[in-house]
Amino acid sequence: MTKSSSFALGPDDKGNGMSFSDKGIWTFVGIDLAIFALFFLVFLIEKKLDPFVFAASRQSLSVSFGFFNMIVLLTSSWLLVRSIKTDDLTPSRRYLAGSILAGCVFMGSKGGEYYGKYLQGISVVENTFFTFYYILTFLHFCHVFAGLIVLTSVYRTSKHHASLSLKSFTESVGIYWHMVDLLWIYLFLILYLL
Amino acid sequence: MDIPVSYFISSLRKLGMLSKFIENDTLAWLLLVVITLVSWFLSEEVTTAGAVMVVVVLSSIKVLVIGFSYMEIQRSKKAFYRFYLLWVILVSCVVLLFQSLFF
Repeated sequence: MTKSSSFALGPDDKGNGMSFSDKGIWTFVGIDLAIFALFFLVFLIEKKLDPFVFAASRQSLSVSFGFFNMIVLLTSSWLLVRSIKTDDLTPSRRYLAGSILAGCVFMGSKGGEYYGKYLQGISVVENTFFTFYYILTFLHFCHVFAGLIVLTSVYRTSKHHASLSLKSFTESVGIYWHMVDLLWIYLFLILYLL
Repeated sequence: MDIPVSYFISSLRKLGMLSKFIENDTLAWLLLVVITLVSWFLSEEVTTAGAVMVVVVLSSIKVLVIGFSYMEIQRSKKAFYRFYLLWVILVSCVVLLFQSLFF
């Protein structure tokens, strides 16, 4: 079994010349979180202005679907952490493959949910609630999609080229992926539960 | 170490068990799943003010666990670390504030 160098870089390790705290991904994640916080605020204000339409529309969302998606994303995040922390290349790639698979399950589930809405005749212009629902969840969906593309690229690259710089890059992708996970927690809360 | 960080982590250490959930990613996953299932159970009751508060707090705890255990924000830049904590506090307070307007 091929043994690669440790995937879990310490605070002072320099993968591609950058320490953990200096990664640019922190800035990107911070901006993304701030933008989504503004979306949440605008949604809550609109909900306050039209509470009955929002309450009635929310009933057509499947809470069970949302919880299932939550557990899928949490599992995907965990598998990615396992992949990063595992030293050996083969099990590390297996964990990464599992993380990608879980992400695909989420996308499939979300696609199924959108299709269900289509069959019910609920479009993005149905009312303010569904405009927000489609925009917010589709933005999140795009984040998941982009993350999966990058994770798949890492998976394919690691087969032939496992280096410290690749692992440092994967750590950055992991930080992005966990952000996608935690955004779903609040999205699910304000759209499906409250 | 930054005072809020050291205070938070020392508080976790006093709780003993809870710190293990933060430092061990698998235990963190178990904790996140359990909290999710508890929220699922409570979601039937999310019409009362108490249930709303519990669900919002549980969601924020999950976000913090992900931040500390998976993202390891304690190793990030101090500015982002503080931003993250502030973000979680602000989002949860705004959600609770708006929900309280409906009761």
